[in-house]
Amino acid sequence: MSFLGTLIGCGNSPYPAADAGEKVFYSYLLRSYPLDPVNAQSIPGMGYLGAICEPLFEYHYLKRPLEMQPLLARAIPQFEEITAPGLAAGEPDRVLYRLRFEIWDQVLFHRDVCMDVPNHAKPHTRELTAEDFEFTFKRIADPANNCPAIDTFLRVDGLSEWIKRLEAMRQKGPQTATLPVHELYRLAGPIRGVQVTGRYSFDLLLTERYPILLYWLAMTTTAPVPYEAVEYYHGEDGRPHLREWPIGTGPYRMADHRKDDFIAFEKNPDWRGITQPQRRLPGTRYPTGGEEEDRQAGRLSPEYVDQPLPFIDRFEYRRDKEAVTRFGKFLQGYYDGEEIIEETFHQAVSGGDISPALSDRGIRLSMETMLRVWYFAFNMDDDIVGAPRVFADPARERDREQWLDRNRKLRQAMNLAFNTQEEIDIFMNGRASKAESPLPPGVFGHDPDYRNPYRQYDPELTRARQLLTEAGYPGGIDPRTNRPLQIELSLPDTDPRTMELARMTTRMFGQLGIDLKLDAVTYNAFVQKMRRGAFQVLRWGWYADYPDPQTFLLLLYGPESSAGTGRNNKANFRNARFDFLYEKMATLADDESVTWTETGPDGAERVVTMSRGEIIWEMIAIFEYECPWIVNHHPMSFNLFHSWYHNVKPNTVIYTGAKYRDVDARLRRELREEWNRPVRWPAWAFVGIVAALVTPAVRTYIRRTRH
Amino acid sequence: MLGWQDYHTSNLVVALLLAISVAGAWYGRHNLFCRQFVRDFARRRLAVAAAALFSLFVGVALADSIAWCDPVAEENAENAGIEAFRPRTLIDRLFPRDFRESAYSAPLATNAFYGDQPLKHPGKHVLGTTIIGHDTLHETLKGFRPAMIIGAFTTLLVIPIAIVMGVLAGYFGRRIDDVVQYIYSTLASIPNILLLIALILVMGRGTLQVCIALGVTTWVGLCRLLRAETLKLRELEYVQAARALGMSHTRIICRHIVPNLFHIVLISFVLRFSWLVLNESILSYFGIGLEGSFGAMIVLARDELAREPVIWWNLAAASTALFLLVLTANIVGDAVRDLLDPRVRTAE
Repeated sequence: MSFLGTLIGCGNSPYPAADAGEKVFYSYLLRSYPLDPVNAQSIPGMGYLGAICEPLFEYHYLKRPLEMQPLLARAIPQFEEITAPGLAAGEPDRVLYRLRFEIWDQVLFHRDVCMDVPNHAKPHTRELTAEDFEFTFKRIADPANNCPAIDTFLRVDGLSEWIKRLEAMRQKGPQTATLPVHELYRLAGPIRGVQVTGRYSFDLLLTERYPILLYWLAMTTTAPVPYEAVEYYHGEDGRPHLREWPIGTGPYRMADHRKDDFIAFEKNPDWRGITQPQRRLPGTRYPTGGEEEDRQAGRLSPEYVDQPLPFIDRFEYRRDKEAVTRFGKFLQGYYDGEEIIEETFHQAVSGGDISPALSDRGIRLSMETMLRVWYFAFNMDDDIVGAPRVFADPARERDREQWLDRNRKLRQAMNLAFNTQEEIDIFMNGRASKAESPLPPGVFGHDPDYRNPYRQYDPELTRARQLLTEAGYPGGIDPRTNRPLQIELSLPDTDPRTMELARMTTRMFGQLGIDLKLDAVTYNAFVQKMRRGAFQVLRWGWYADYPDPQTFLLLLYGPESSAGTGRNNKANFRNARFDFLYEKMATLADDESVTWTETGPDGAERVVTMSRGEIIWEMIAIFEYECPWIVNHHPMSFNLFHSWYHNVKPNTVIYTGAKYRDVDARLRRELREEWNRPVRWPAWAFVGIVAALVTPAVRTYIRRTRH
Repeated sequence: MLGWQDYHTSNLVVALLLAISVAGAWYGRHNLFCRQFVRDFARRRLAVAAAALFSLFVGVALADSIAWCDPVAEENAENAGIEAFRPRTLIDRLFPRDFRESAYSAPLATNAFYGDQPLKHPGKHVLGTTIIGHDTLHETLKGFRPAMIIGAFTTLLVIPIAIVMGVLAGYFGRRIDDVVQYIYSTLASIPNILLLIALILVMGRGTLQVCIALGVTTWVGLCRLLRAETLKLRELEYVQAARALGMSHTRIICRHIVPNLFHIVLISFVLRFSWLVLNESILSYFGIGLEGSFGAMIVLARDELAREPVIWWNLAAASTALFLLVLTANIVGDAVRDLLDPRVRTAE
């Protein structure tokens, strides 16, 4: 009967009863993600790290478009052009670009046993200094750490030489190879372009003016990690690894981490915003200004504005893999927020807004277009759809210009035949915005009024058919075989859903008369195909880390071609003008322009001055005409929040948001109780049925034993 | 789904199968044993009903394997569209061309499930449509072909292996027996599903690969039965007599052993069939099954149950079809075993 007792006596809360009144944020995790700042790349992982570690800058929590502001740094530095002496005697002077950083004093690392050197007996802390940044930059450079920012940081003067020195030290022998990492880094010497100029100041010297670097300094990838933590948390002798137990200077610190099962962080009592609120350091108080929508959504209520951060005491994430049960727990109030997926969409949203059943419970809906783009990439190295450097078919190579033109027309026709809106409506319930160019809304250079002429779907396909005829395939018939032209679409998996999506795609190109063949393989085989460049068309997407057009236009930059390298230009698109403009654009800030001399079409030299926006527009015009992609859509994230969960403003690149959010634990407890009144009658009915079944048996037994 | 050219092969295979079954029936017409078998079978009402339904399914699968393209006139080619070049099977021809909507619609509905626009074929989709608007009845009927291919083709792969291995091991014993036992014990000790997945990951996807993988995991059971039966047969008087008269091993195996094993082969063929079809569904669950099979349909429809309002028709259609196919195969299989297995027969 004890089982029945538990059944009847208690509710359905998955959490300990003692937590009910505390400011704990509850959510779920699907699995554990590596949390070493230098190479964490998963989206949930970077979200956790944003609470634990702090980079030099962060984004303003409310302002849109995104605005960078100092966090550990006192100010955002400007590039200064300086002259440095040549590397060897007799060499000419070099031009370098300097960024001078001043950081705040009295910033403490998490109080942790790893900082108590050498005994590791009790938790200890120490102040963050400029040398910690030098150590962090060396970690970024260390090839063993496989840092995603390395391509950008190679522009730091002397970084590649330092990497070579480090590799040489590693190969020298067991003595150096077994040294603690910071000792090894010290032996490898300083990086020429990272100069510590004081306890709280350092300079970065770049060989190129490269503003993209500043975005990386606003990501947890570059957040300072103390060398003590790297040395102590090595994952052996019963200690966790740094990727399971990250240490930083953030407002939260790790409280518990059970792999794949549970992760929790708690308020860091040594955080400067808590110990020194009177200093009003940047990023330690809630913002005082924002957008109009923030005012309407209550994100600028006087209760929060200018108040010291953080608000929530503890974050807990428990494993919960099934989307449907997650949504159920959210509705019961056991999760504070939840992302809407396809299966739950019609339950949560009706007629473009939140469904009445949910809004009656005070649940709010937020919709945001993410900094992502999905597309079909044509393989530009392919004879049929591309513009290869040399056509494999000598007949085509002989008529090169004509075939380049015909293949381009084929790509343009296919662009016109793909109905993105249908895919968004059927497979994403409208949770995406149709893409006109690689740049999603919210990125500099995105023009909301721009319409790509080759991405305007017309059900009659008039223009597409005409282009296809001009490309030499009237009605889609390939004159070589007298059958519809066959084009192969490579897919990354064989999931039935992917296959359904592919069948829809087949149907769309079928209307044009093109026979799309599907080539569905395992993900690994797919990646191999991309790397070998052995495909015609594939479906792929890009998730940006920072809100700059450069990261999207990089996907079309010639030297970034994927064939043979596995890099990001999956279409292997090479266009000299595009590459030239990319190189100009990448070194500019949004409001800057650049001047160069070039030879005009008439053969005369001329001086050209273009702003960053103008350069981007010329690049998009090239993209539009050449059609190396069928640019498909920018997905949106739809999120639900309970009424007690405050100041939520989702954004895919702001990772430091945890400290700004708040939960009203009292309201949550009341509503949870109201929504989860135990339904006891089934338990009693069960008891009744068992009694009804057992009684006759007992009576029979008693009657028989008496006789 | 049929490709461009392989429909000719498919047609040929159907013709061959029909020819074999007609020849078989012609031969069996005068065979006493067959006539007896048919008479006994006909007495079991349930088995006859199941056999009728099962033959219907086989018929659907065969009809879905006969395909041809309608000729496209040279001058019309440009406007014919891609569908004109696609071979259509007899089953496809039961439905009008372009018999689809843009997304879900409920069975016999007149308006789309989401959005309420009027359908192109209102009230015509008896079992509703799938996520991309294909008719569910059509898809379900097309699911019988992969199921039959898996069931029949795998069994045809398995039987020769099992007979050769089982008879050799049972008849010669000693070293050969040790080797065969070693092989099948090793295979049997690996969990079936893991072995299936591993094999398919190594060989790649495709109909033949799935059949081979299923074959590798199923021959063990039949092989064991055949080995045991051979052990018994080899000691019987007529085999001893044949040996004493100096007949060669090959002749003894071919004349006296193998023909006496055939009832086991037949029974196991019918009973294995449903097991194979069900296992293909499990493979589909892992994303490595056959395209268009019931398993694939069920996996796709799995998440539809979580929708609100629920979309039930795809899952219902695919699972009902799978259930009926497996049930009828089992009933027929049981009846065949009862009639052919001498032990069960004498018990009656």
